[in-house]
Amino acid sequence: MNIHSGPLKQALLGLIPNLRAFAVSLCGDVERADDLVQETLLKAWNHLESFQEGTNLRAWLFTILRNTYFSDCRRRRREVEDREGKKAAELAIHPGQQGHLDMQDFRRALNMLPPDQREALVLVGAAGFSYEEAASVSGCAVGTIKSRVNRARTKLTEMLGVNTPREFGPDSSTEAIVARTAGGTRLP
Amino acid sequence: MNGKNGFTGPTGPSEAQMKGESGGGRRVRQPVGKRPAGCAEANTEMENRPDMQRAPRHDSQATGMIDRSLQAQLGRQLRAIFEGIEEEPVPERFVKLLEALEAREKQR
Repeated sequence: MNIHSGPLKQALLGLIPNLRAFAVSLCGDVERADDLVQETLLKAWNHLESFQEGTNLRAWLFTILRNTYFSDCRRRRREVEDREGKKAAELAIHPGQQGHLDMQDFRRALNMLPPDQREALVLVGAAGFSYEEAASVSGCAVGTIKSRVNRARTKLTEMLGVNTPREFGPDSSTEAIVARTAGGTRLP
Repeated sequence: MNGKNGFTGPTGPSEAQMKGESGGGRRVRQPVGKRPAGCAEANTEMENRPDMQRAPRHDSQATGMIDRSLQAQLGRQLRAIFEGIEEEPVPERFVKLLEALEAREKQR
């Protein structure tokens, strides 16, 4: 059987919406996301012999996409860090409407999460992967995925101001900030 | 990516938060306004309790303390973003790409 026959093209086409959703959630930028999807499709097509038939094509494609994204990130780390710094400044200056979680704020907060935490959260919380599947996509232990998801959730709630860090017990650097904000008074 | 700036735990401020903070000392107070009405008082009380300041930090414990409805709200927003993109039509460039790949394959 020709592995490049019509059904593969159809299967790939059918998975593109899902892949795009993952890519946009992961990198927060539609243009870059579509470049990632394109690269993923090319790699998948050219390395189809390494896909084991009968296994999960979606998980395989997600793995290729996230590996592409993370090696891309390593290459452009400097640039990414600069941009995240700017995003952080924006979030600080425009705190959004009071009393409800604004979608723009949520997007910004999501983009500010460390990429590995964002990935875990999106895989489990939006793409519908089990912890085990997410671990296999990310190439890490199930416990690591669980901890990343938890940390992502905690951090999102902190960033969106719906719970203060204090409610979770502050660490020393948080205390320092709180102390400074309170007019330099040192906490016991 | 963690480990920079001495980030050691799930409740430490992110690097981004630290950077944002340097712009002015008032920032940390801002999230207060976004909390549901009624929470501000409870929080002040908590800040004054030394036992709360030394609460142990574990992911599971912290997660357990997060309001369930809030978690559900975050989950809905995450899925809304994801599903919003999923519902978009497949961009033409991908249809053309796959057609080109298929055509190239047939020529071999």
